[in-house]
Amino acid sequence: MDDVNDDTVAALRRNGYIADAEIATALYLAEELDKPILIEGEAGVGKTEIAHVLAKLKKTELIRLQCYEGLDFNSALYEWNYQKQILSVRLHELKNKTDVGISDFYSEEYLSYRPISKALMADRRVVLLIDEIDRADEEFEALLLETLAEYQLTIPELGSVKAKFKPYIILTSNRTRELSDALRRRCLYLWMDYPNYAKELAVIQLKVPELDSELAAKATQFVQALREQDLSKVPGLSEAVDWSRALQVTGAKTVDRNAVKNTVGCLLKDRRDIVKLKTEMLDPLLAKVGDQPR
Amino acid sequence: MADTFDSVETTIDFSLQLFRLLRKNRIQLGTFQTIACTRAILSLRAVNHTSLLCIYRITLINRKEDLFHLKQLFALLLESYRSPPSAEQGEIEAPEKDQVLTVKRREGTDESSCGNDEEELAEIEGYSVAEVDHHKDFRYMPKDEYPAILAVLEQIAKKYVSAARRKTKKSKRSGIIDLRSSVRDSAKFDGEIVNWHYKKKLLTHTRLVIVVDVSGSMEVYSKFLLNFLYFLNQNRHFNVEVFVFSMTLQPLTEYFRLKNFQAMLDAVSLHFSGWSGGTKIGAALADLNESYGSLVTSKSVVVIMSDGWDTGDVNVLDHAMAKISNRAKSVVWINPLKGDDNYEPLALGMATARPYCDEFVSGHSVESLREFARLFSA
Repeated sequence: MDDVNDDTVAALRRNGYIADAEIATALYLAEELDKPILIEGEAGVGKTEIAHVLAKLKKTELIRLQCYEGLDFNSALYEWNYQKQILSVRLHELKNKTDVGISDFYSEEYLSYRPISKALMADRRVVLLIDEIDRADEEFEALLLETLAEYQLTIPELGSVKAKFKPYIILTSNRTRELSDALRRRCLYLWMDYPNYAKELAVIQLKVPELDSELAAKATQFVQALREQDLSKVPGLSEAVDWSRALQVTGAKTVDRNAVKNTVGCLLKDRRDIVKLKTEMLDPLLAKVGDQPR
Repeated sequence: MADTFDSVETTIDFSLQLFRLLRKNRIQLGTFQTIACTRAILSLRAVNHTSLLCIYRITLINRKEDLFHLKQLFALLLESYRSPPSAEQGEIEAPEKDQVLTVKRREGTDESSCGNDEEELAEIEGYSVAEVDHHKDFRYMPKDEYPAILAVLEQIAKKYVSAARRKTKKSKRSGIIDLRSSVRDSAKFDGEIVNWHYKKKLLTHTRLVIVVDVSGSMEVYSKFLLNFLYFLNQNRHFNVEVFVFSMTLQPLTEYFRLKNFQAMLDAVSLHFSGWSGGTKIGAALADLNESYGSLVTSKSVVVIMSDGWDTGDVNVLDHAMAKISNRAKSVVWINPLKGDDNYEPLALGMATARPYCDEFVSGHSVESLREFARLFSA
């Protein structure tokens, strides 16, 4: 099993993603067991990125369905192309063609594909990313169940359409609402926490290779220490990467008071947090970063 | 000690025992998951404990909350698996998970089975209910009637739960063209579309931002309101954000997703140990504006439950209320004291806040909570 994991981890790394054994196992199992993966975790820890990297890794297309409140059947699964149907009827009338029946107008030709049907009908295994599923309504989850479990879609006029190539399905959720058990049961589950020091450092070095390695280590220590503070919006991995890039661009030599003050907007996205950092937290945090060379 | 099993067969045997143990500890585990887990083990030929735990985490668990329990149970089972008990020691007893509040109403029996103990609220299999007085003030209800009241509240909440709403509705002139309906109608005119039909989206989510006073005098009422909100929250059309406060503001929304809601309520009571320490409504609302300002939008209804006895600065309250009423869709104030016919909002805090409120309800009895729910049912 370790070989499998090492291979996957290495392949992901080549595509710009630092993964641990759990992520590697989940991706491997998703492929092996033909199951969707439900990824939950804090904002900015790289949930959506997994889908992008998987698509790159498998050299295939990424089909993305961004969920939102009120997302419905027609914009997610499929829709009949009414305009085309009406035009066809008219044309047949003009040509006095009488040898067509109702079912002729309910064929694949008149179907408008939406992300889910598009992923199922694709000519190869694609990656279907259903992003932020917790933003959609609970009823919408029920619509997904058939696709998630059977990789098929039932269109009343056509019958069940089975996927020619089962897509890799990745669902992400920020836990703004509890997802139904029915959905959870059909998926593999991956909880992504904030990364540990080593992983975060590796990600920063990978994403911002120009950054001096000592500075990268200090920046990582700073972010790790910052996460332990009482903040209303804890910085995620993406914020850490942005901040490191900001440090590199502004030409900071080390993580000091000035460097942090100038670039704090990349790290913290809440006014009160920023004020708190500048007034109370900065000195103890900087002391920590200075004290603990790793 | 070796941290691998001898063979895949042993691993499977171990896994089967783990499935049983997880289920016994009320971690939801379907056959979908157990099959996936077994297939994963077979496919990866996993015998290493770390790898196994990784597989279990991915295939068996589908909630972050359960991860901790899985780890614990895994370690426990592993220990007993390595050194099987010599005598029959019975099943492994895992640490008890928090009790789930289950309220079932059983009618038509006598009144003798009601318990007096607070703890009985946590686990109620069945109990007798004669009839709950829907107009009686919660303050005067004997504790042994609490389960019955909760059951009634759940029923009322369910009424709103089952109110099905469609995403679109027919509209006379405005909205987008409903082709389906227009085409169907055209059959009357030999395929010619004479009347265009329209549909428009129904407004679904009302975001409720609820701020509940849990200081001494309000304890009883806030407990029932929180329970009622919990039941209402089963209706996913409501987007509920909950905060409690006495001196400071504390977000509770996360707990509304938990199943052990009763345990949460108890924790809230523990947390706010300074019960009669006074109330700073102004400071709490100002904190809401500052820290959670993004929740108060033109789509959200802000519900504040408090008796209006503010020990803080009135000006702070005035500013905070002005800000909230400007930004929110509407402001509802629940004041249980209003249940009294002779009540007038004279307390300084209440007098300050009253002009900013669109609705002023009492929430002191079952009936008044029903009225409260009606505000959102339209």
